[in-house]
Amino acid sequence: MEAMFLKLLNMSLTAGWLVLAVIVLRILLRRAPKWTRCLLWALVAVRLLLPFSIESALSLIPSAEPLPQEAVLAEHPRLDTGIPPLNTATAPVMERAFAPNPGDSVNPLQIYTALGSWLWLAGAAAMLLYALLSYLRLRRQAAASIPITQDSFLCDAIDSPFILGVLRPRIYLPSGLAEPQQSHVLAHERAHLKRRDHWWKPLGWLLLSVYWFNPLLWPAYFLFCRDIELACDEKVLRELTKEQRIDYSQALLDLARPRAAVSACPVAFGETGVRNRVKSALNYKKPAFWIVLLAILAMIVTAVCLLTDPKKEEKASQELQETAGERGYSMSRGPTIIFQGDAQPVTAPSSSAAPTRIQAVADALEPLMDVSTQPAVLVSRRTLGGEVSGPYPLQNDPNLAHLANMFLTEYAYAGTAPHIDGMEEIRIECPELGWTASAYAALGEDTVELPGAWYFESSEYSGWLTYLSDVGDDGTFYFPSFYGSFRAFAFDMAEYLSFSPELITPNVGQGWLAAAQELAPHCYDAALKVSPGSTYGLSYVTVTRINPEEISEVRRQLDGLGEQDGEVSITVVFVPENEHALTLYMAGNTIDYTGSDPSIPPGAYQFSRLCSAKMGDDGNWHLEIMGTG
Amino acid sequence: MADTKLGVVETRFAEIIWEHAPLSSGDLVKLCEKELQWKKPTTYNVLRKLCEKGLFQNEKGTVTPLLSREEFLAEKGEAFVSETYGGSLPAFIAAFTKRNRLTEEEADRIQALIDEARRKG
Repeated sequence: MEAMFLKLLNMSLTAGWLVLAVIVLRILLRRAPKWTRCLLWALVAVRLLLPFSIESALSLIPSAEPLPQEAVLAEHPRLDTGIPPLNTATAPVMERAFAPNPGDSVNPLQIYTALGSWLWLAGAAAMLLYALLSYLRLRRQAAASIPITQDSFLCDAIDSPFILGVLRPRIYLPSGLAEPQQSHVLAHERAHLKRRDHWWKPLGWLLLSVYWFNPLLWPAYFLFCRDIELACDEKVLRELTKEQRIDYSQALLDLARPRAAVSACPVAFGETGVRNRVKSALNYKKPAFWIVLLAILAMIVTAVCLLTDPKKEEKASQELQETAGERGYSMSRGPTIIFQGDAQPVTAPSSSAAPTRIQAVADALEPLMDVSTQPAVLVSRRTLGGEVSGPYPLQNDPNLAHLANMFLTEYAYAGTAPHIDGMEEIRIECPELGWTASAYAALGEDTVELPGAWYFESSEYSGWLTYLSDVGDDGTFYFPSFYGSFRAFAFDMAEYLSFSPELITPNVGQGWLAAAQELAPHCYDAALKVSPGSTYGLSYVTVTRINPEEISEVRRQLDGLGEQDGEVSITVVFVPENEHALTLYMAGNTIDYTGSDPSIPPGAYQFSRLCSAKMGDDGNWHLEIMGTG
Repeated sequence: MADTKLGVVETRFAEIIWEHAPLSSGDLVKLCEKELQWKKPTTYNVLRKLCEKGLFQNEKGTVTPLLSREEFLAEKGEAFVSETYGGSLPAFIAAFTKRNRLTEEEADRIQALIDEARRKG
């Protein structure tokens, strides 16, 4: 529900721009026929209804996701309003208010979103309930009525004509209407029915109920209601003579005029409504052709510029990067790895026919196999058509489908690969280590681009491993090499996990702290055992500090700790074995080693982590690395 | 003294009773169902209201007039006064206009606009 709430929040924020534009256009196009206003409101509705968005280079929406979903979990939550000075200005506030407290396992933003989504649900439910109750009350009041025609009824208990019902709408008229009034009112209500206003208005209310938290949508809704009435008046007036229009105005006034019995109410803002309608009715002229044309043009421009979102480019790669961090390393939140030097396009011979191109993929992969201790085998290759499709779960996974689309669209956008023939499926198996990985490569006239995402399956981890793509200085759109994407996430991780000891020790009544002190020094043992060049490789690692953490009852519950369990924060001092490992372990709260222990080699770094010591069902103590602390 | 201010619908309902009275409330329900397409609760609601106004009485399932049609017409002063329901119309209903939002002054000003248009027309 939190995700849905954030989605709605973002949708309503982007729709806010459109609402502002419509309000301005209403003023600019006040001479245009009123039905054009209704169409403008329809654009707002479409924007609020569409869960996805069309991207356009012409979009004027500054940001499709002003409050990024990732911000909730991020160490440094930021807004992405699309207006850089605004992002910078809000950053300190976001930091102060929402940045996670090192040591806490739940970010403040997570709590606020959870609270916010409940509040939102309650508000929406209340508004829908109000609609339902009002409907039932009106229906009860309208029950004592007598038919005058097929679809219209007279009723004593009401003093305003209205339409009730969605599927079988009925017009209800107050019984006190005199004849010229009655036929005008009836004509108006019938025009409502023809325009299907008895559908659009409840739809508007439904949207307002869902987006009640957005203050811009309230004036939008009331203006929308007014525009519906104006457009409906207009539809009726078109058919009337000048005399009849005056009578129509009179009917409008009579129905809005206070009864003698009603004491004069304080100046109500609603009164401009009737006045405007009377004025419009008295001054009704057939709208000039050019103003209609202008209104339609304005509408199309609005639709193109504000119904669409800005193109994603860098945003997308940022997301992929974060996904990589989250998926690749479940032990700590969000380390991101960028292998700048590895992003190289692989070029095949220019005269290549299809089989040669497949060979080129194999050739490109082969040297990279050397880095593994157990060679992986390329087992299946299949060339797919120009469309991104295939029997593999490609189309089922939004991440990879998105990435594959980027292959085809973004690459062409960068202009270096004028033609991409299709996608090629690659499947690699490493039976000794028990994993397989599958991916797609894009095939061009004379280029083969290696994939940026792999579907990795092993006993430890199954899922998509995505990786950052990059646009170089020369405008070339690079996808990461096999080493960058695959070795880091697939091979290295499988290897690291296979070397990682299970951090358990039998319970002999020693208590959680003693158990943690026994286990914590071995947290990073595997990093010393992995192959040279591994992303996880460390040449030196030691745990210098193991401190018990004070934890609140709330956090104890959130972390799933029992009464006998506890948490420690540990400080780890390490020397990365290679550049890739440095990038991996540099994430989070890593700093240069500050201590003065002479046994620690020069060039060391340190970071801290939070670990939980829990009593398992198996009667053993288990140590788990939980995140930065 | 009966309250003789009735709406059009109430008058129509009263006519049915006068025409058939005395009659059982069950028969009245059937008549209203046939002539006004009313459901049972609606008939009872309106009947209860008119009984409260002192026009009819409903005793042991028999409806009888306390005021004959002629007496009623004689006493009838103003044509009708409709009863407003509390607040304004819910915002999601398509309606001709909302009531009771105008002040007397504002209404007069609008009336002047209309009168002027009529003079010119």
